[in-house]
Amino acid sequence: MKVSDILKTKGSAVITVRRDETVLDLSEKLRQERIGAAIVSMDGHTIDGIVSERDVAYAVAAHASRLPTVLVETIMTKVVVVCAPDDTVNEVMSVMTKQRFRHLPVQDGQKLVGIISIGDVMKHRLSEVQLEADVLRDYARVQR
Amino acid sequence: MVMTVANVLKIKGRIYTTVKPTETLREFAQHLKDDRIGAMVVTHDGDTLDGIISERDLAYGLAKYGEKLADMKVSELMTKVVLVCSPEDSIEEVMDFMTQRRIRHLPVKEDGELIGIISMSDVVKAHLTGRLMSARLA
Repeated sequence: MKVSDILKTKGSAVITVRRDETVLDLSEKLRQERIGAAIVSMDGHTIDGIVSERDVAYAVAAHASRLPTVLVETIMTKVVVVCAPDDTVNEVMSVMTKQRFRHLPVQDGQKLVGIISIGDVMKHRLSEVQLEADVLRDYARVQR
Repeated sequence: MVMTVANVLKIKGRIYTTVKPTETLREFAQHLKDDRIGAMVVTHDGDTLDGIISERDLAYGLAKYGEKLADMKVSELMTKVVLVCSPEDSIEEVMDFMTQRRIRHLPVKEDGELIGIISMSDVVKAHLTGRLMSARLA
């Protein structure tokens, strides 16, 4: 199973936010779309950074009541690890758990083609596991 | 090999941090940051499970409450009805549960007593470990 298989089911829509938008704008976007992270991009294609609900949450400690007016670029992560459509789900799963990322943008060459979360990865692993279990059950039945 | 919630707790430890319902959301955010975690169990006495509160609650709460958020209390934003799992549950059951209910953290209870909390990352990691061990045995 590959990253492109996940994108096939969830689609390649990516929610982006500009680096000069406020954290309040960002939080409204996250809440409205019911997502955990947005790609920071000025033009919708080039990745300037990534910003997650964790960045917002941790920033409450530092900025308190001033946080709504702080700019996205202040709290975003600039060095972004990406994956490619051809990467396997197992590879991505291992990168996510080892490096403690929950979201990876998907880039095809220079083009941003999607974003996958640890929830997406888990959902797909789960369907594989269930499929394997069904196959094994059928196999066991035949053996008897 | 079947991995269970008990296996996960063995790896990550039974230690979990708690926050009081009367603490402010700014204090809660500081705890999350200090411990590098995403959610905490809310308890007023260290034993009773009053609720659970996560980084998502803070991020979405900012949209709703704006500048007032930081000084609000944990009790005002926490989720009160808390879904839990037990040490005997299999990792795949928990994966299924988390996917269906769209939750990322589950407190673990044994005989009514709170013994830990597991996250989606913990579960995925345990699943990978289980697969790896099965592959070596095969």
